Amino acid sequence: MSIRAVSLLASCALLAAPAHQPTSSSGRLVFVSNEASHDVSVIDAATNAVVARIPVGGRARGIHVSPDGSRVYVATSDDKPQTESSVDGIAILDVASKKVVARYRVGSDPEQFAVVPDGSRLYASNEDGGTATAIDLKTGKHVATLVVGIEPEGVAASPDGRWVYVTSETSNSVSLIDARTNTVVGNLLVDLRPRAVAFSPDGTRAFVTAEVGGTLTVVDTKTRDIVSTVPIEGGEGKPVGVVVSPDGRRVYVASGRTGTLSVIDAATLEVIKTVAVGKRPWGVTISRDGRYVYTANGLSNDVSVVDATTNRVVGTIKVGQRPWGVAVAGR
Amino acid sequence: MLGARLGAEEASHSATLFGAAGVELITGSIDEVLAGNVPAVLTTEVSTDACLRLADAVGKSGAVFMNATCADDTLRGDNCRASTFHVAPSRRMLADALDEARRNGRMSLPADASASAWDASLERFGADTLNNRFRARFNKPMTADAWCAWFTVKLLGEASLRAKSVDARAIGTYLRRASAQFDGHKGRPLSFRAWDNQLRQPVYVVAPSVGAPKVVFESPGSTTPSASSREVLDKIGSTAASTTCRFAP
Repeated sequence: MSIRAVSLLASCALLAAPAHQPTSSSGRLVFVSNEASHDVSVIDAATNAVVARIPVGGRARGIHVSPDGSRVYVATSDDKPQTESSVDGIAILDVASKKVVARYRVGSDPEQFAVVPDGSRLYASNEDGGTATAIDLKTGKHVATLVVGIEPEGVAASPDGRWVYVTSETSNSVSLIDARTNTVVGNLLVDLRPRAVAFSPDGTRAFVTAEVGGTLTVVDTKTRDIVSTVPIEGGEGKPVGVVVSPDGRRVYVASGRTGTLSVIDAATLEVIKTVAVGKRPWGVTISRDGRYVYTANGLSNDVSVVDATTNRVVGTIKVGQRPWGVAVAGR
Repeated sequence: MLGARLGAEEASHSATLFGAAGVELITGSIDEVLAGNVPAVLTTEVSTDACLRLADAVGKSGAVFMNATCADDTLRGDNCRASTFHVAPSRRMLADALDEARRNGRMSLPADASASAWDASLERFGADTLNNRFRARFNKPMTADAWCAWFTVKLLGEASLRAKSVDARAIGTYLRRASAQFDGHKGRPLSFRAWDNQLRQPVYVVAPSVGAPKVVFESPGSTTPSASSREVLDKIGSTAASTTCRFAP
């Protein structure tokens, strides 16, 4: 009886959460790109309630928050790869008004991208073009187009802003871009179908997921050597999204086909825990305080909230259709 | 040979990333091709006789024969050759796939349903991006033959990069390595069976439908979640126990 009363109270509290309030009491908002419903769901992290749905006019995939937290960038594309249309680009959402305020062109079929830490530039992968495109985020102007591998996908910028890594799924490669000169200075051959890449907070390591290889490749960013290849679920996982905790101690890998989040000790590279989340998690992110990990689950149309201290799912939030990526603004 | 052309273009692009020379396709008679001292040979011929003749001629030259066209089971059985690798699914794999589709409630499968290595309507696991690339390049759908040729060239380029060699022997050795696996946009790592050099791969059961044929089943279908990709893929075709292949030492 008492348990029932507690759960009733919890749901009352959820219903009572003010939906119009622009920022939550914790100051944390979670933004989810929905590929099929062409919009972005906004979740108040204090209540785990969806407080807004923002239409973005195309397939919404890669999503990131600007370093100052005022903007959310969303990669959008039409349903026709190989041709660039007005929908192909980066939609700029204003966090305060929750509206699309601009759309920048970044070449055809943008999928993933990274914003450099000072917020000045954005690098996007062009899936059908074998290129990555850099733009200036103040002006929206094209800065550079770089030839990378075939079917480029994952993009990450190093914490010092010096390097941008781009994975290419068909070439099984990671292209290393010097962001000062905007040139590709090297390429690494990694495991099969590299989907995403993330840097450690100190920039010494890069972690690359290989979806078909079923592994996480660990790169020493200084020597550019592959230092380890970590099997995810015994090599049978389908790792896609990857994020490193702000303290650098944990690496979280979302595995699409197995519906799991693997928690990896960044020092020993051992998988500490495998957490069952929703169906086909691809995007994954972590709050800035390192407390919560969020996965975008494309086939269950929801977001799983994992408490990073207990590695347990503490919330499941229904969002739009085919959620792809997730980003957090605020602490 | 459009599949091989796209494969060569893409493999060359990938090779240049790593400072390698790229992949060149040389076409001609078997004597002309072998005179070029090539590491690997593939053909557009589909007859069992032609494939067997080429397997022997190429094997004798020291190169690797990549069978991307012939489904015949004897090429993987009594007439198997250590220097021949089969990317095309065997007739037995295709028959097993159809059987599995029927067992799995697709009893209403029309008599003219068929199984094949690829279909232009596939979308999952990056199949859509590959189908789109092929269509954009040649203005044609990617057929199963085209996929087999594309994947053959892709895996040769990759084997060469990973083995750091363009030598036929080094490539053959790499393909035979237990750890060697490749991504063919089919969602699972693909590898060659040690007992007959047949590529493990999912195949697709396609039924005629209004408009265009439709993929109605992927074989092997879903199994126990704990099974490895290799265990799953070995559910179709010859097994280590049932094979009649004995590679000459």
